Amino acid sequence: MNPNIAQIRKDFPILSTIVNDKKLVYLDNAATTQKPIQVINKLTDYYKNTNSNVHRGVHTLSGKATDEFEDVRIKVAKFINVPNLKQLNPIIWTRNTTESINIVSMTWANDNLEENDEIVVTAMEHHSNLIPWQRLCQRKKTKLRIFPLNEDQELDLKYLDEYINPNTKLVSIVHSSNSMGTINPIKTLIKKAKSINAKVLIDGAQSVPHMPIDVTDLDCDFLVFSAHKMLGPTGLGILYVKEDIIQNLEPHFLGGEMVLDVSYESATWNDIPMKFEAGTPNIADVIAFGAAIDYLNDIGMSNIREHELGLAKFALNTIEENTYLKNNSILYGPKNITNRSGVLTFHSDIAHPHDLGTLLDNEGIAVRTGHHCTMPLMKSLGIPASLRASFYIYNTEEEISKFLECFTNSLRFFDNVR
Amino acid sequence: MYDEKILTIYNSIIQKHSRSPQNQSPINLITHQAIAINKFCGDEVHLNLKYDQNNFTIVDLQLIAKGCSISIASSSIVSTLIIGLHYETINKIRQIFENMLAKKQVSNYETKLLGDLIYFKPLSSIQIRKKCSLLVWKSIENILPLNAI
Repeated sequence: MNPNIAQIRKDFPILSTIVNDKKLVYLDNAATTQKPIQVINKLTDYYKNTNSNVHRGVHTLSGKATDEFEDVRIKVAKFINVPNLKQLNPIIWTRNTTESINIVSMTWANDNLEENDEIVVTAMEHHSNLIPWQRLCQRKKTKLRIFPLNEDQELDLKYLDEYINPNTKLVSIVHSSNSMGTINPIKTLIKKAKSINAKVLIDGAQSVPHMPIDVTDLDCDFLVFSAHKMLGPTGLGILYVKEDIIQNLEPHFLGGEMVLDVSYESATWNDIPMKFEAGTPNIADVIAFGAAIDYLNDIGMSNIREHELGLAKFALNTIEENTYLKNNSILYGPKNITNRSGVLTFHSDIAHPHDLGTLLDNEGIAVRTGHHCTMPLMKSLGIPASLRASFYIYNTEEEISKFLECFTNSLRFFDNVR
Repeated sequence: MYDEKILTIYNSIIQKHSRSPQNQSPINLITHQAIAINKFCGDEVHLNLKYDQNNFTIVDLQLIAKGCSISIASSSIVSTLIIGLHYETINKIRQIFENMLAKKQVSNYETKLLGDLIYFKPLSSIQIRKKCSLLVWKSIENILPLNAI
């Protein structure tokens, strides 16, 4: 069933905002998404009626806050289809995707990788899935391998056997590229990694919000993503750890909440997953995130993927008919539309992305310009920065048309003054 | 299509400087090197300077700038303004420039000191891009205070 986009848009107060005297066209969803009124209300409702610390109280509000907080953990686990949920909930709250990856690098990877073991990342990783491994490799003398891309910024699978080999102990890969819009064939990579007994971390920051993700089916060992990129509040990340690993995982942060018993000499750890969450957690944002999960479930993740794919197809067809735009800009990413997300990244020799972004902003259009935290990739493409439009469930073909028209006009503007 | 604010910031003087930045040729004797990088966008300004420490004056310079048209044009214009100037005058120009961006009063005398930097006046209404025009000043500030002692 097609989602009713006009109805959905009514749930997002910010979409009625006027920016530079124009109606906002928000196409910066890969950076962060807007929030529906249901999430905003949940957040304010929590602070107005429930606010209390979780887990340690005997009073009514503390019990209510704890129940709501833990209900969302279950909701998130179900959302990504965690197996054996009745036995164990392996969802760990973090601050963001970056922190989730850092925790894996400082705990499991630090404890299990040895000299000359290999970690594989791709050439399209966000800095957050590159730098933690660089540091680990310096410390542990493990090797960091960068899986190369083809000319369409897809993984070049002819190198599969070379890069995922018997020395590989960890494959840490982005599912959907934040800067190129490439959706990677993670099932193929996971299958290959499992065949040589390597563990797999999936950076789902740009995929979990946009398509159905099933960790039971994928059989990945770690999945990381962020609430704010899927209609939820900022400051909340998720780390899923597969059962056999989380059972032996040591906590990284120590202190309150994560302990069972403490003496002056030592301490024992709380149960999983609480032993990984030292200190008061981000209670309000977790509870509001529950409303975001409900909202996404109501629409259906397959419908969201279908809607965004439709917008991407519409954009590509519109570009195809726009000779000037085609001749004067490069659109990066896969030619095969099914390997694309709702992220379109451009570069043009006519003008710097920031100058184009300023002209688009003047028309009320919010896009992102810069290196998108993928500096090595930008360098390999020989560009300092690019201009990225990224879609979500509330975007329309009308908005994509306006963006492409204004983008074309911006290029013509700078072209004429050259 | 575009309003006055946009049309005037991308005026012909700024376009000219961004397309063809001045003072790109290497200089004979480099006494100081100044670098500023905008971490958010990757824009870079490199200045190779010949600085007369007796007279506190920039004698010659080479500009190497990468980035958007605002940062390149401001770097180019500043490079044409500061050669031959005492560091105190350079700091004064910077202060007037920042006052202009902050929509503070700028006198006729001060306007003359700004030279072509006056064309950045529309930036005072585009908050997010002000930092692009200030990158070149960031590079200079890395050098001048050290030599002012």
